[in-house]
Amino acid sequence: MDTVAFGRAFLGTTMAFHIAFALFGVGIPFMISLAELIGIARRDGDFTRMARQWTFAMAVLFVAGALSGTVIAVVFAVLLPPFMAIVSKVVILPFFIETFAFFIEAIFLGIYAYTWDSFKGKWTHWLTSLPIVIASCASAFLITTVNAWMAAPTGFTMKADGSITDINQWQAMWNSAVPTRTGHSIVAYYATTAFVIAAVAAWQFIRRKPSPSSRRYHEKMLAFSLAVAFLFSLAVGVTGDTSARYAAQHEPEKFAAMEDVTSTRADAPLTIGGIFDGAGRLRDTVTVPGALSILVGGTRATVITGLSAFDPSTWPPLFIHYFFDAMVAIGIFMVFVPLLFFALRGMRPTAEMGGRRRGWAYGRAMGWLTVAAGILSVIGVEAGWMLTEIGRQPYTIQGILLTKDAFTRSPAVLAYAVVFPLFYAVLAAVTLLVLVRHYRPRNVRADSDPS
Amino acid sequence: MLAYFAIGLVVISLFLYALLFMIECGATVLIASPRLSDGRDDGVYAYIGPVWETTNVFLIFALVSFIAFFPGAVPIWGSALAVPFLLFLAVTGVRVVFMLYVFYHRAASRAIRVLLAVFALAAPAVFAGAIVPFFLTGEMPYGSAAWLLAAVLAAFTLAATLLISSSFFSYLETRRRGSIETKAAGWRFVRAVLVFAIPFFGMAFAQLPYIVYPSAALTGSFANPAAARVLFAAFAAGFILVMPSLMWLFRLSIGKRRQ
Repeated sequence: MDTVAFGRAFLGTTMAFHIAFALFGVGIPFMISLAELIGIARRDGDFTRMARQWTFAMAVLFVAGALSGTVIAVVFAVLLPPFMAIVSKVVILPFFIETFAFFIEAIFLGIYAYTWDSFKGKWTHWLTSLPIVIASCASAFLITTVNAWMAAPTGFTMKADGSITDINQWQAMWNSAVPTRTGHSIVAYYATTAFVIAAVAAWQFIRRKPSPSSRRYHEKMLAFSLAVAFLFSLAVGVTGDTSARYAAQHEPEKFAAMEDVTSTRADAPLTIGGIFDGAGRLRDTVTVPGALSILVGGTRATVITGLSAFDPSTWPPLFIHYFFDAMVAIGIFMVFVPLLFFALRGMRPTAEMGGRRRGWAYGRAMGWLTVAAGILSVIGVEAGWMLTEIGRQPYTIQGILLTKDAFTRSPAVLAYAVVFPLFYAVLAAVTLLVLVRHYRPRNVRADSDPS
Repeated sequence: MLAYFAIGLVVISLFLYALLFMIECGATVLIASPRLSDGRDDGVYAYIGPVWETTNVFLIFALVSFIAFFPGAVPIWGSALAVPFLLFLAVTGVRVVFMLYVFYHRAASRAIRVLLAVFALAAPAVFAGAIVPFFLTGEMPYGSAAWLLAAVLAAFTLAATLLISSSFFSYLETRRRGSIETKAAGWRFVRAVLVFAIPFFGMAFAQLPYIVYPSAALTGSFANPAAARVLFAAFAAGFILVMPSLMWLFRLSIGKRRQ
């Protein structure tokens, strides 16, 4: 394998692992804070217990996320010197601010986890969760501004000889892709975390008959997390639509590839699904006439730029169409599952059904759907990032730096780098092991602090 | 002038990282050996629990501020130190994974605790032996005379690690017991820190005006003035936010008494 392909495979694996840890690092603090708030406001001990139990997961996942984040920081410096040479001059500010957000997150995580029952005022402990929620969200926002900058590089001038002048880091940080990209990804992390928590609750109803108190607890946990999941899934849909329209305007090559638009036209159809044949053409698709033009511009007359308008050397790989479709399909499923749950839950139990209708919401079938939504939502986030990263190819920094020029020239370095995917696999396994052992039914107690 | 301030910032944050990291390394040795810990496990866990997640942030801060303030030096050390950095990261990573397991799982076997201690001690040795010599001499320690420097640095760092962490946990223990020896134990810890701090800062500042001797100098690799201003502004705001929180955390971590 050539150096660049190897480097990309390595970096891709690293990022795929990192995002899986990081998304929970953003989502769990929010869920914990919300659960503790509801617990105090409604004087409901079950919600307080949820917050308390999830704190352990937050602490463990923070460690995993911090570690994989550190690895990435070093990996970028070491594997992509030409890329870092530009980033370190133009858009290092968000990383620098992020370290402070990271400090706040780590510090208050320590405080929050070790001060249950230590304060007199009933709100004080909850207040210590807010810095974690704000800082974790800020971290995600700041890091994503750099990713947005890679798609919409501004805040500097590059001369013909490659030297960089007129640097304005603040402007680079607030580039045009920031609102859509940060908005869409962060709400997706919240939705995904809520779905995974819902899946854990649903698992209790699939696996066995819980005791009445455990049943009550997990029913509340399921309804709460699916309610949060529903709201954020709607937000994912809205921001997703905005993101796609941003792509249509500012990243036309990527948009054309992900929507499979070959030639520029008005009244462009929406292409769903399909399989690429040997010649690189998409076959067996479902097409909706004119729908793509309507989605982008509101009318069938809207002109969509096709791939043929661009030099093929700047086309992203066409298979990003799969990632896009996977993401959209999962997004729709994520709205559907909570809707179904609340419809079933709202039904009155009737005598002729043996009073079981309402029970369907907490039945096995609904449970499996929820578990599926939990797994698929994580895959959806991964697919979204694959679309972003592969969709920007052949560039690492759009129009500025080609991916083939972004990597180190040293094959030896890449050879050493191979240990890291292995290392991530171990990290993921240990994280899971620690979590699963901790949450085993006999270990779940009301007072499971990480202390 | 600003460049000197910036390098001071990087060196101080690296020092704080080293200090916290060394204390933790010692803690893992105590956890691994019941004979050494002598029933002090709970004290060790009570200190480490809230703090250890913050320790790694100091490393990230040192690294990011180094890259942010001195972008000109990145290509020099970035390519030369690729392999040592990856090695250090692998060792640190394994250490963190083991800590995750030992710390949050408590029932970890003796063998795993011992492995944790081994990796915990390997990490500072790798850092001092494989990374620091490059900055000081501009040469990799293998295949050059710098290997002697590397060996001395690694051995010194290991000794300092054991000295600092053992005196720290003795201090915590006397403090928890409310013993009259608390003050003396505190001084022992301060002296141990000084034994490490004086050569650490001495080497860092004797190095100036070079970052990587002799290829990268301080002012030549410093960020452009506009970028530096924005970074310092961000630092000032961040410092004001982080400092009080950090104080609170440490008070929580070492302030609990048994009574």
